[in-house]
Amino acid sequence: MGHERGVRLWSLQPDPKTASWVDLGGDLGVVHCAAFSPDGLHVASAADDGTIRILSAISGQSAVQRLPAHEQAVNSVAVSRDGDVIVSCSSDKSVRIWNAHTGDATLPTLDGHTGVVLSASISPDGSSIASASADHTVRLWDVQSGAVIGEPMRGHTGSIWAVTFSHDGRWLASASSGGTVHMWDVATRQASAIGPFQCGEAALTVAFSPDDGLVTAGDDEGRIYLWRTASGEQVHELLHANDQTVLSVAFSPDGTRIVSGGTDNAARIWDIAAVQCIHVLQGHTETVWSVAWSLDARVIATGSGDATLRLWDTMTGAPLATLHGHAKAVQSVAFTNDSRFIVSGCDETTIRKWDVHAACQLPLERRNDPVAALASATLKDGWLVGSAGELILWVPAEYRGYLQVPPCTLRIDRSRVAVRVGDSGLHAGLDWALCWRG
Amino acid sequence: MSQFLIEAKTFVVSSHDAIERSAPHIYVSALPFADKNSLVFKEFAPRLTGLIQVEFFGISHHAGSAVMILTSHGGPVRSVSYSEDGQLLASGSDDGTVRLWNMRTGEASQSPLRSGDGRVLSVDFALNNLWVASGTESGTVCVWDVGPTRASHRRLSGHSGQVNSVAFSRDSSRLTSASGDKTVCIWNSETSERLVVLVDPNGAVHKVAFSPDGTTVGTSCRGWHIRLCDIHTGELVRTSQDLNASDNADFSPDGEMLAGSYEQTVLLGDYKTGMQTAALECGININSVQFSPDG
Repeated sequence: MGHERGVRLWSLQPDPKTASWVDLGGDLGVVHCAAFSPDGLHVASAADDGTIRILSAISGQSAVQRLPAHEQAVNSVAVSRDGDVIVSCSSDKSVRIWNAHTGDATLPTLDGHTGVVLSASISPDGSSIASASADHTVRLWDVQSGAVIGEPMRGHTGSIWAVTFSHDGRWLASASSGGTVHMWDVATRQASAIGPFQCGEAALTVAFSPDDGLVTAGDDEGRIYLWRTASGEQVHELLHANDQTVLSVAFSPDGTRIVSGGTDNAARIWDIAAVQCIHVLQGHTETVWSVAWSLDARVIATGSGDATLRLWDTMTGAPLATLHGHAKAVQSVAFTNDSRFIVSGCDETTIRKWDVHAACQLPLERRNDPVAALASATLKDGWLVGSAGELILWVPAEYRGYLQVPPCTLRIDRSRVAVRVGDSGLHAGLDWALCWRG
Repeated sequence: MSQFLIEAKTFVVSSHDAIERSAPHIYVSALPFADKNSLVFKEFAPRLTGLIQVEFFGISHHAGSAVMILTSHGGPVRSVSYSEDGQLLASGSDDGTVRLWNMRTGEASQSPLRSGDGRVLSVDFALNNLWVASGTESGTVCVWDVGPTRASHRRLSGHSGQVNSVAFSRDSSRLTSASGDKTVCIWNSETSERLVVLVDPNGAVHKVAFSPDGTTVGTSCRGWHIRLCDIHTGELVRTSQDLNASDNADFSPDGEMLAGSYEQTVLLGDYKTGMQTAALECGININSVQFSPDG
């Protein structure tokens, strides 16, 4: 079958109703006509660009069909404290559990939510998962079995955008587009004695302080609220920026500062005691959807609608690195507890794991270093192009959708093509001739 | 040696885009992506150092890569058709030419065929390997003699609108053409005589195909059911009732199944009853559908 971006081969055996497909040759542009050779071994494609490509139909049949992490956008990711488990949730209404080292799913999908699942959190002991959905419920799941724990927690009157466990594992806080933050007792799955707290029209993010003494939330009017968990009393408000929505908040490990991200494309570091913004982290060109603070206190990670992650120095607010690779908005970022890796979830249905140390080694100003050039390269017209526009690597069309380029160390997707610099270094750009040793 | 040359050809063709832009990338890019078991990789990889390492997970190597790229049409290519023995490929393009390609070498097997009738919208190779039919923008159907004698071409006139689709019957004795003038013609492919004219009440006919037994043609108009008509009388045998509106038409080689498409869905139906058996959601607009030779 010829279509708007190439040639698709459908296997009608054993049953046409459950036919599987593979796109031969990847993205070929508009294909007006596709014809089988009489022996069935090849397919000729007639394309709008004036070329005719003869594609192998046999190798296509054995190719593995793309199996992304989720069927639709990944809205949130979380990593277990031991770093072995990644949990993700998606607009496909499911929650999934992954081996954080191999990228394999450890269980079938956790189904039950009747709406888009917007947020997921793992309990500190790693035994359970909380998920929050547009169906107005928070649900608890067992990590080992995937079974639902108890009845869904109801009380919100809008889509629940965020849910998080307290650090002692006793509480859950959830924030909804109804404008409230609810507190739940994990043991009883009932609303706790404190709360709900009222924000603006919509509360989109919530976080506990490291000692669980404070809970913070951000709203659609640029306000960041702080409440004491012991008394329910409001401490004070931090003002993000007028007419901006606060989409993500995270505490520093010492609990004295907060980082926030929002629709003004910037992240901000706040001093809680002084009630003021001390750094504005600027560089993203689209909404900052997610922020995270490493437990070693040194790095802040931000994920943005501009399809990049950025890393920032927490003391100076200076940019440390920009991570390319995702094709669409980065909805969620999370550090592993050892601060060595970041996990990110993206609208393009994939999850990636990044090496923080390798990323911070990348010079922001380009040096004549091909290793750094590869790590900061972007894919353009089939080429990995360095920041100075140099051609580093051409990627065959059929692999472009599957690339995993450092400092990305894992791409959760059944099919992937890992590209890296080998032990013998890299001779690229003007030095390419050095690659010949005869 | 010949195995090496075959693999070298595959290697060069599959990385044609890279080498054309920047020749060093025959080493820098093409080799890292080459099949690790190929003679080309085994021969050259040890001679090179400092190349990017590429590892594949869950992907069979070079799945569906191009084994040949034919590039001399001067405009979009609308249609392609193989000869019965697979030795030749005919193509029709907006550049107004029909071209014949040698499928062993990838070279043009003769100079471009021009009839001067504007864009070529459809081509079909007769199973007797002697003729290629083309349908053009100006409403002309041409039959090109591509056998050993290579006489010339015949022009079959009768349509008053562009010819969207042409197809030979399996025994090559009949040729059918579908046109924007709402008609489908059945021609004697030897004498060029027009035998039957079918008028489609639904509008411009987009695609036509012979059933494998040669008794009926399937015709499709954008957004309408596939119509099956008797080729001798031109009468409607049946419409594919439950096969939802269709932009395309093809028959499975055993004559049991019908395939069509509508926007982003491939539709499969039973030839005898016209009932829909499956709908394959594609998510991308579909331009053409065809069964493989083994169905």
